[in-house]
Amino acid sequence: MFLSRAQDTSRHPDHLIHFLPHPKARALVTLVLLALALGTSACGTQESPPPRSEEVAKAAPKLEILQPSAHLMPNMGAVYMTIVNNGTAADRLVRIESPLATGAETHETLEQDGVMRMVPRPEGFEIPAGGTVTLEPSGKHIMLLEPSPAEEGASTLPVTLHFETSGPLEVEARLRALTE
Amino acid sequence: MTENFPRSRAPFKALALGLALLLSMACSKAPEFVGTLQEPLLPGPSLESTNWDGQPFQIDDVRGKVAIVFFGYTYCPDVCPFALAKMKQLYSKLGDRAEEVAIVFVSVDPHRDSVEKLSRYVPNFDRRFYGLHMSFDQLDNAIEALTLTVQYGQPKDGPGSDSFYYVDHTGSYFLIDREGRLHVKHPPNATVAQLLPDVEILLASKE
Repeated sequence: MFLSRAQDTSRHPDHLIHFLPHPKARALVTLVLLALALGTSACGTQESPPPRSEEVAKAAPKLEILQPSAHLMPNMGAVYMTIVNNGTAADRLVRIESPLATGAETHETLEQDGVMRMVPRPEGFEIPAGGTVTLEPSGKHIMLLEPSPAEEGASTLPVTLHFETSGPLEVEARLRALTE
Repeated sequence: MTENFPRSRAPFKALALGLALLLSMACSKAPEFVGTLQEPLLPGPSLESTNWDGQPFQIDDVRGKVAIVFFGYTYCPDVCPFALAKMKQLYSKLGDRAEEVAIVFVSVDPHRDSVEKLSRYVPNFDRRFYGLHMSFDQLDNAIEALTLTVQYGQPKDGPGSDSFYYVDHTGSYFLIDREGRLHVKHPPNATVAQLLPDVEILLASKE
């Protein structure tokens, strides 16, 4: 499985050029195929370096939280953001806290024939290795239960995101206008 | 200034063309709506209720205006606030004509959404919006008339408890014309840009 593509493809040129009668043509095709093999092997190495066993053991998520935002209503609030996992292992957002809310839950809004359904996602949201999960209006989101109004003049809301592997991450969610 | 008037006849030609185009548009069949035209055009539900300001409301009160009726609840975290915000954007696009458009938010959660609760919610968006609390009977009428789906989820701490529950509900926008007839329907994800032209068509027709 971890054979590099160069090893793989280098077996092929001789097979492939038997049908060519002229040695020059063979040489040319060999050259082209070799160049191709080198090219793909270069790409292959960039995409996925063959991991060594100690690296596999160290596979870990590396999370980045982009553009966290929140809106607060008298009874409800919601938090949105983009979670990017630049790491080599998946992670999962399992719990959220905010000092201004009595509770926070992971939810997903789904539309079905004009009906808006709120689906609780108590299992949280998985952020695959190398993947991105976007929390956005009418999609996956964090619901804040009965939030207190933000302090006068406050422009952000503190939120703690608890990830299964990465642990707690503190973010300041920008308080957004609903019309954005 | 008069000496600057162009002598070419081109502007007159353009004007004539424009007029011809307008005429042909006027003579063509019914205007094309972005949303779904509701045929036959029939009166919508009466929506007898209490507005957030404590005043009684029924749809006939806004007869002569175009009304946008939609459903939600104040504990709705994600969809409803954005629907109301969308209506606010629509109002700002309409400018002065907003006075001729009634925005009617109907709570599908009479149990939790008291008039008092609505009064702390709806005017946050715009004091001109209606935010209606109605009895379950009246709500049932609306559900039947508009073939809505309204489903109450289980309270978080189990049945019978007073804890949080969701209400799955139809998120469509129902456009009522000046004569009180349900005229056009838009899906929940309709944008202001999609709603506006239809509102304008309905505004253009006098009762």
